[in-house]
Amino acid sequence: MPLDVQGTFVSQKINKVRWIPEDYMETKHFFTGSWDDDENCIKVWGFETANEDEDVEYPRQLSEYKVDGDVTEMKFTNKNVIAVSISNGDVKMLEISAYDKEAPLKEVYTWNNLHNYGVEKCSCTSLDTLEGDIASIGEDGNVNILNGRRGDISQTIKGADSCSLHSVCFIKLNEVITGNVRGHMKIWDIRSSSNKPSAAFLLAGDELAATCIIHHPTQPHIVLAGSESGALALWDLRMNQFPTSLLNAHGGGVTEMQFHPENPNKLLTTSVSGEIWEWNMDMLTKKMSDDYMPVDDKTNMNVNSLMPTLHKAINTLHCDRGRTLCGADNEAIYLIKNLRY
Amino acid sequence: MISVLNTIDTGHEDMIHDAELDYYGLRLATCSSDNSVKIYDIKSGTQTLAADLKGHFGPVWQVAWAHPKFGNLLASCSYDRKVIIWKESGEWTKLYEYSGHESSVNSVAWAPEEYGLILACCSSDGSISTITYNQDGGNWDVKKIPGAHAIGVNSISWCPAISADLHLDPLTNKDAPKRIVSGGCDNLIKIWKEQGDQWIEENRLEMHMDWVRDVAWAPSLGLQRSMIASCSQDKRVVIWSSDDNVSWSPTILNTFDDVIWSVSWSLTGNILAVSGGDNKVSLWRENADGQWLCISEVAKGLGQAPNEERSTL
Amino acid sequence: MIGIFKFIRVNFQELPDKCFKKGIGCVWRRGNQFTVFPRSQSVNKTTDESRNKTDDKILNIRQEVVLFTPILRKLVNEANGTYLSVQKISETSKTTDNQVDFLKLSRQYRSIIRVCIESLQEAASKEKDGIDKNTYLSYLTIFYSIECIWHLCEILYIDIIPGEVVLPFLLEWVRFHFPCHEQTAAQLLESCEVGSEDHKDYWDTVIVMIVQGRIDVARALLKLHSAADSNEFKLVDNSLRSMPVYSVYGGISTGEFTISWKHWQAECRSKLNSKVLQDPQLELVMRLMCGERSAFECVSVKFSSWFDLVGGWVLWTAPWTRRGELGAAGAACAAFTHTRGPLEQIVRALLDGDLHQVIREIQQISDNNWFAAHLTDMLYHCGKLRILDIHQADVTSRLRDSLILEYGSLLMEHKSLWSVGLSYLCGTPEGVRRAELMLERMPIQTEAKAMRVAAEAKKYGLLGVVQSVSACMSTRHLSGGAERTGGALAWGARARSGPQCSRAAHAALRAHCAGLPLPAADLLLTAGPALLVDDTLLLLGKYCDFHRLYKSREFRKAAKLLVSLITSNIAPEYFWSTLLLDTLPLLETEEPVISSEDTYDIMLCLELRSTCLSKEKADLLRLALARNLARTVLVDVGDE
Repeated sequence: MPLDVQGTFVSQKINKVRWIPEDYMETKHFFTGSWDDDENCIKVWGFETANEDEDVEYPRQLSEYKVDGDVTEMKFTNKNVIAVSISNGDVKMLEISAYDKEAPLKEVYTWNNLHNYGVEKCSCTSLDTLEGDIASIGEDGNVNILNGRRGDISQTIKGADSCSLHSVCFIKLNEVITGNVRGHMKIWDIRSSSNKPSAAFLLAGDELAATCIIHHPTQPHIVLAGSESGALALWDLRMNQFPTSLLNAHGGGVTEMQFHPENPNKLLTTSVSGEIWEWNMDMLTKKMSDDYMPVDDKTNMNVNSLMPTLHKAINTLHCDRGRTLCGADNEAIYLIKNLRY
Repeated sequence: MISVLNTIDTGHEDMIHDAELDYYGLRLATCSSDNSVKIYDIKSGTQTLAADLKGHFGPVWQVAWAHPKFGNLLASCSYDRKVIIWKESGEWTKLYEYSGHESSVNSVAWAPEEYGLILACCSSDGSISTITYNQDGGNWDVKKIPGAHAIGVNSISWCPAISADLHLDPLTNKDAPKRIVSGGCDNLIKIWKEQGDQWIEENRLEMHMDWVRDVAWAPSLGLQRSMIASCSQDKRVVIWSSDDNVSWSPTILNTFDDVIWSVSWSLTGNILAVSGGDNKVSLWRENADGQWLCISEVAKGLGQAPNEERSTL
Repeated sequence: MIGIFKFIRVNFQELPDKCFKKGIGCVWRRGNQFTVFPRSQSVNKTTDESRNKTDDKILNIRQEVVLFTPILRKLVNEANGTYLSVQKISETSKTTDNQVDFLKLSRQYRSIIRVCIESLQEAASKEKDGIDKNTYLSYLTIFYSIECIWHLCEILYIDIIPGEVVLPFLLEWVRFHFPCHEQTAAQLLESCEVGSEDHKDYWDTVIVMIVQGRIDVARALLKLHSAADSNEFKLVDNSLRSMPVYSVYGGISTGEFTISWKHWQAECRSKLNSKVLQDPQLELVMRLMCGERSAFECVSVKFSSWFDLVGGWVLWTAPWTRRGELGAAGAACAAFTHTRGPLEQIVRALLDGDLHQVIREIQQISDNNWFAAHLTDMLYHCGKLRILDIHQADVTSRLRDSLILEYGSLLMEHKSLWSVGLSYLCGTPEGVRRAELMLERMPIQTEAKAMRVAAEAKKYGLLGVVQSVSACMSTRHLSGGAERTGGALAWGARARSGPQCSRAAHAALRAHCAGLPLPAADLLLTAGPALLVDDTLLLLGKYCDFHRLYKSREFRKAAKLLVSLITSNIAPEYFWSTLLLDTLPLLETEEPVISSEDTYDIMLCLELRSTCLSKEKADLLRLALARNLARTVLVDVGDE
């Protein structure tokens, strides 16, 4: 079946979308987090069919949770709890009822002003989760490791960066990688108390921000970072500190990347230039093991566009088997069905 | 339809003489005959008094916000012959005080940010001063135009940096000569141009028959046209336009029923607000035929049912 | 005159009485917001009046914008996509004829309006609060009108009509927007009972069907009359059945069609005159079919407005009418009633082909010019708009631009819709500079927003905005204290601004002089060529590198670098003491690391700038320099 794209206007710029996982069936529910509006919120949605004879499903809003600032990141800590970073410096853990999706979200833990410039507020720009732990970063250049089970701050790396941090990713349980506004990447050993990174390198020479970082699902030593320039950089952490490839990809900043949960050779990316692409990473990851050449062009990478280019930025994507959601600055969400993986 | 978003109780103990919004429209500074300058935060419908600046010893006539790239700076001028530049870093403090005038200082205006941090002020002593911040030395340099207008200077306004000098490359527009327009008690409007290290009188515009109260250079829309609005105690508002900043031609916008005290251009320069002694603010716009039309009047008792427009269809 | 000047209506009951007695002042905010305050020119401290001034109020005033309500925001966003497609198509249409594409996009606009109407209907039906419900209902009225006008405009100017014979399109328009007795007809037909004339709306329904050109339905309804088998009914049915219908593919010319149709109507007229028709309603039907003016006048009361009749009038008087020739039909129908609402005026102007008037009128619809801007733009790109001013000069593109500018500027005011507004502003020559002015003044809370604003600005080539926004971010970091030097430098570098970087670098150096550790080392050591933008920044960068070398005990390299910093003379006055005193430990290393020549240079600098050190410190340094000279005079420090 061909790709089927269906858009819904929701009257808010969407910065994050996340499918809410279900145990034994295909999920119909998802979260959205908005940004850049007078009032922002996290919403829970469910897909519903309007008429029985119709095949088309429309999202309906099930609940709403207002937040005081932009939603900058949302990641699950377990299947019913989501950690949310907010531009007022807060981090929240919110629980959704497994039985009643229309019930209001329950606050599990809140860290108010976790990131700050003293009395002045500062944005908590992103977070990552791993086995119940949360790593949060902010414009203050700090990294916080939060224990999502006990609700406390287990560690703070103060002044991890002299500039603002914009992306973070757990590589291992005790190791996170951060990227800053200049594309300066640092790896931190959480157990060490020295406040010094165990490694540091630059994404590219252009001094633009590292906007997102992920690692390969089955080969965690392979790390990818998206740049504000639209480029994608790839490292093999076992080797050296230079990106093994730097791909000039999108026409504008990379906003989110996700390896397909069912197929680690498939990568999806979205961008400020309004694109959502799928990449076949087959060649690249295979090459990783041998010594290999830098790839500088996306054409030989097998890239497909999943949707006609939007006039506004696509900020986020999340895929669940054959269905991918993305959210954009044109105040719409899109459901792309029949993705082959 | 227009509505009142919110109101601010000023708490000034005497007449208010001026109010200015900062670059982002998030803060309002007011000044008053009670010698004080007040700053309000007016984010999203609520407002709080952020600062009450005391330093003048006379009525404060006017305030002006600097471009935020220089930090949060506010200049105020007063009957006490002084200009004070206030700076916020945590608290509001006096950054610099200028007392180079011999009489009441009537108006202050920051230069276009492209030129750096420069303040111009004018006084009842008939002179105009420009005060330039020197970054390397951390000091302020003063230049003065003595005897700019006989009896006194009431108002000044800067020419936008991106101006009608279109033969200049927009990127090198820094080299566009700095210009100031001033209006005074000699019923004249004068245009000053910086040449070398002094200001020379480039033009004098004669039209008004009484004191010129306010002058305002319109923001540039990148078109090959400059505009200046002036108002006077002769109850007239005049629009001066030029396509080279050298020769100017006047159009009388309107003759009002009362003295006109102030004229101000909207951010994008397409609407002129005129206010005066008759308790009205009127908004004016030029149509395609070059005629100036009043598009709205803000005054008491002009109210109409808010839903009227909608119910017409 | 171009009719873009709508009077802003002000409800000023709320204006406190006392406080505006002495005068009024006005300051602009962004867009259509401004602040009004009581303004006094004189000082009168002593009067009683001035003591009574506790009620001084400052009012923030704005134009109310219906488009900012959540439901209408969908319209704003979706229409923006279509608008941008129109611009794209019109780029290519310079070379090719893209009428089909334009038609597609016009329909897209209409479907967006339809979706909007449906969501408004849904919201209105769910809303329990009376006032809010009324608000939705009033929005609905607005958008019904918009839908109706757009559709007619599309038929008259955008649609592709074979042979230009507009009748079928016109009938479709009437039927769609003014459904009348449609349900009654369906009910009657469904129950299919002979003797249906007992239904109170039977004849009204038949007549409406005739006027709307639903011949088949009318015939079927007539068959349900108990006298359907009578001669007079058969006569009418026969006439209805035999009416010639024009079809471009029918193989006959419009001329031939006109002759045969006129012949048919003449027959009808003779049947009417033969007085066979006894039933007065049936007679009325026949009179309508004969296009009798009095008959139309008689039935006009059954319709809400005269333009419901327009389709029928054309059908029964001149079915060959081309789309440019509807003025007469409009005039004839308009004469039947005296209602002169805005919608009537607009439809009339449309039928007359007076687009200038249409645009002037639709600006009065309170939808914040959404409709006027998009429709004008569409017609402009289709090449169907030609507007002359009083001097007969063509001001078409100026009119279009001014509407787009107004609409774009309005959206720029909104926290979220600014990016939509930007795409309108940047589509006109004058808008680019406006966009710049408004973008720079957009309040920015986070770096993410700053980056997005910069990205959008860059898309339209507004590099000045990128610089200005970055410079302001840099300053904000700078005023946050020494520990935010990194942020100040990073954003200064993004602004590519020498002065901005210089300020940040000075702040860092001063902080270091005051005893703080050197800030932003991680940035400075990786900055590379970015340091070259400013001398002070370069000094800071090199000085930071000196610290790194010293800490890693590479004393020779450290010394070389330090000496070069001293001799190059780029350090600001306040930094000299730090720079000179930094030589002390290097002068006292186990192995000498500063050559005799370098020592002389330092000595020279010290004497030139001795005022920046206290006497003891200067003496201490002199001693160390002398000692170093002593040990290097015999065996100098060699080059590595």
